[in-house]
Amino acid sequence: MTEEGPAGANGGFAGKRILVVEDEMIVAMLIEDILTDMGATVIGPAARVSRAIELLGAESVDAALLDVNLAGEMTTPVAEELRRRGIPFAFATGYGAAGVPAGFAGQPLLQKPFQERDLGQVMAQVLAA
Amino acid sequence: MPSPAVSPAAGLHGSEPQGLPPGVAGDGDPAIRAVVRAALAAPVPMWVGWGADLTGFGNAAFEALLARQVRPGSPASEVWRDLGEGLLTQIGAASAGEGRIATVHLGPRRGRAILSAGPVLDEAGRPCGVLCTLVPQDLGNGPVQNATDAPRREMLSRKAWLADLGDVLGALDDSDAIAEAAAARLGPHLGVLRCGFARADATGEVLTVTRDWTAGVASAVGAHRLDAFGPWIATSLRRGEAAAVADANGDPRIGPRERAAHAELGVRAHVAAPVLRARTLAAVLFVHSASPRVWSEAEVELIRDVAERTCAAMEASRALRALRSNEALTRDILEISDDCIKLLDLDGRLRFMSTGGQRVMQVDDFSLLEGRYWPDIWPDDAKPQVEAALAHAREGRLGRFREEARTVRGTPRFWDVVVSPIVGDDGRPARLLAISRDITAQRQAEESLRESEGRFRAMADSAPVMIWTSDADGRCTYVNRIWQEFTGSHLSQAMDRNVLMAIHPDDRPRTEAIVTAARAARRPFQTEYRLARADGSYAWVIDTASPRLAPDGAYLGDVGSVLDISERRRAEEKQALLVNELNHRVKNTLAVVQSLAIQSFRLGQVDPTVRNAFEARLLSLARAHDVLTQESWEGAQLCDIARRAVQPFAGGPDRIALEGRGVWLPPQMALAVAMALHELATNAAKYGALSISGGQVDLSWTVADLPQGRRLRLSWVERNGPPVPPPARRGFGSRLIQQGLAAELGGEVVIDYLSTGVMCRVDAPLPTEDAG
Repeated sequence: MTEEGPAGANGGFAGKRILVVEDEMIVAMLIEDILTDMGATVIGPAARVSRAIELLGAESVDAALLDVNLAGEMTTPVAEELRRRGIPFAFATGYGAAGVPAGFAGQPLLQKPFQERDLGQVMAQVLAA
Repeated sequence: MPSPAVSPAAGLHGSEPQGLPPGVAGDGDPAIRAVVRAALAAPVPMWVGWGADLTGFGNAAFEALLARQVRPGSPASEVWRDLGEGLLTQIGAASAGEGRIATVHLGPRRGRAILSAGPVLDEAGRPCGVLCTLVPQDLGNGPVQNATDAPRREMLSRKAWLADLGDVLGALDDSDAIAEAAAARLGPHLGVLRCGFARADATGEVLTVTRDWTAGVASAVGAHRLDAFGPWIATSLRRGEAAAVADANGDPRIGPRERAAHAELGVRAHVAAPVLRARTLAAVLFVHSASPRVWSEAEVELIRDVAERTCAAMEASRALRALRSNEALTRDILEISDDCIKLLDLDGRLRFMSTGGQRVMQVDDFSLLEGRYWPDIWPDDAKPQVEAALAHAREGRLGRFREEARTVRGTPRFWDVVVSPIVGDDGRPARLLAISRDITAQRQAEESLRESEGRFRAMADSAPVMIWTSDADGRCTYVNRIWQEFTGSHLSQAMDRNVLMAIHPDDRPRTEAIVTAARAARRPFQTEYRLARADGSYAWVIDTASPRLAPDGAYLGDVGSVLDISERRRAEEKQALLVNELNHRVKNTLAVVQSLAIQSFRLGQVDPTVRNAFEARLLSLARAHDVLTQESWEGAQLCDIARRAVQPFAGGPDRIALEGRGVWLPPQMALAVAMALHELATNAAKYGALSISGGQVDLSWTVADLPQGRRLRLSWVERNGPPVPPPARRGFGSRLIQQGLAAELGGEVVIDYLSTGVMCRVDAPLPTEDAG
């Protein structure tokens, strides 16, 4: 279903495989819908660190969006794995820049709650990297 | 009779008997010649005269006695004129055949001599001349008995002259006076033009004459560079060799420049005798002669001798002066010092007490104490100590004790006493020196400090907090009972160690920096660290310390109290955990609500403007929560809330001007204000000042301190926008502002739709400042 929004930011997602790591089911669904609308294929969503690592091993992934905190479990190991594999990614957090794990300052950041166009802009930035 | 004095060729005359001086041979009688020959070899001063005006000849001994040259062929009138009244008559009588004895006055320093004058008879027994023999009376160790003693006599006379000079110089205690006296004696003695004593500076290169003696000519007083005398003289003097010049004009060692300098001083001949000290030129004694003069070895030796003696006399006088000033210093010290300085004999009897000592001991008359056995003036219980110290000193060691004793007038005083031996010439203790220092005040200070420390410890040991004290170097001097129980280390284990010893290693560098800085600045400090418990675990504590100062302000160290705050710390950590969880939950919940709404709207084909308005409201609420999150939900600054609320609408710089002082809002108020500002800004962007370019909003607030409490006055004023008519139906926004905000704040909110733009005023009570 097409929606209004900054179409320019959404153009380049066709065929991109994006790993979504998010434990809030409803939020994960929204992210999945928006990214799918933009032409991307969503891997996951994974609600646990172990599942995310599993998926990284099994699927080919172009980019990722990581919630920092999965019900008290930090996603730092996933971030490290992504970095090791050279896959670009963004963090999603309600804490702001201060909530980003040590060693990942400067990583693209999606502030929760977010508008559709914020998600589009952040992911466009990630895929351009 | 022809004059024998006048034949210049006489000395060359072939018939003249060998060995006679020029001008002597002449026409004299053979008897005269024989006598002259005998006199020539004689060591006794002799003069032979002949002819009508008694021209004559004096031998070397004669010249030495008169200390002047006697030209052969000089008439008697010239030679004897100054030597005594009637001498010429006596000599004339002798030459006529009558032997005479007379007294000759040789001058003030040379005393007298006995003149024995007798006729020289020719072969016919007629008088043809006179022979004068002199016997000095006042020189040497007595009258010279016979002619063979002459050299010894000369030596003795020189010795006597030098001894006399030594006496004169020794009586003077000023260097200039010594130099002057030496010059004034040596100059006339040698019959020279000028004589002076020059002292060299520390380098030995600059000579300074302060006084000199002259025979009426210009003085040489002043400073002279050694090099100015030419290389030969300078080198000789530096080596300690005397430089004797018989005639500067003919001497190849004297260069043209120096010759000119000699001429300027009117000097043809001179002797300069150096004195060396530590291999450096220290002084030079010089004699100048206006005419050429051959200096005998004896003369040069004499000049050297006088130079040495003059220098020695100056040194002796300096040493004496130094000694005198030392004596004066010692006297002053004994007078001024508040130490009681006593001399005792080996039996321990008082022989001397310093003036200052008599003052502190309150002695009015030392004679009453003199000769008393020193231990007897101490109380009975101190006596063994005093006698032990005396015994030590007698054995050549140091005796020392501290005891209380009353002064002569009965004032109790505490004394620190040192007894030491004064060693005599035989290397054994000859007398004893006892120095007593009054330490009563120091002792009292120590005692009162001990008392106050005792009180402090008694109090500290019963205190419910841990207490420690340190010295000025940061070493532990005390920890109280609770501290010992808490850490499980005894006071003896803690003493002298660093006060930070029981701190967790991770906290030590930081704490040490704080403590060291505070100690350096003599300032109090407060810090938190983990302190080791007796069981090895660590407890968070807060340590509050301040400097300990002596009554005179001296820094003694620190005293600190340590409070176990591990419970509080745990509570804080738990709270931080909860706040984090709260933040996470709130944000996630907002995200979930948003997701639900968006997905509902997507399915229900709802008007996009409705969806956008909803999303904007939700995001505004989220932003307000960001501020609260940062402040751990304790509240927020109004300016932070306002800036975030209007940020999405600001568009460009200065479109929304914020102005107001810092006001702290509690969380509930912060959220309400954020939402109200969001609605005002949304409205302005849709219909008001922010809907057209050039429109502006002034958002300002003040805080009024009224008797009934503080009130926040906030105003939203739109300018340069289109006129906004009041809405026909009150929408969500205006309801939120006018009802919701007013209720939330417990204040008044007024919106006016003016032709210039919307104006909103809020007047609401603020909680008391410290409640924030």
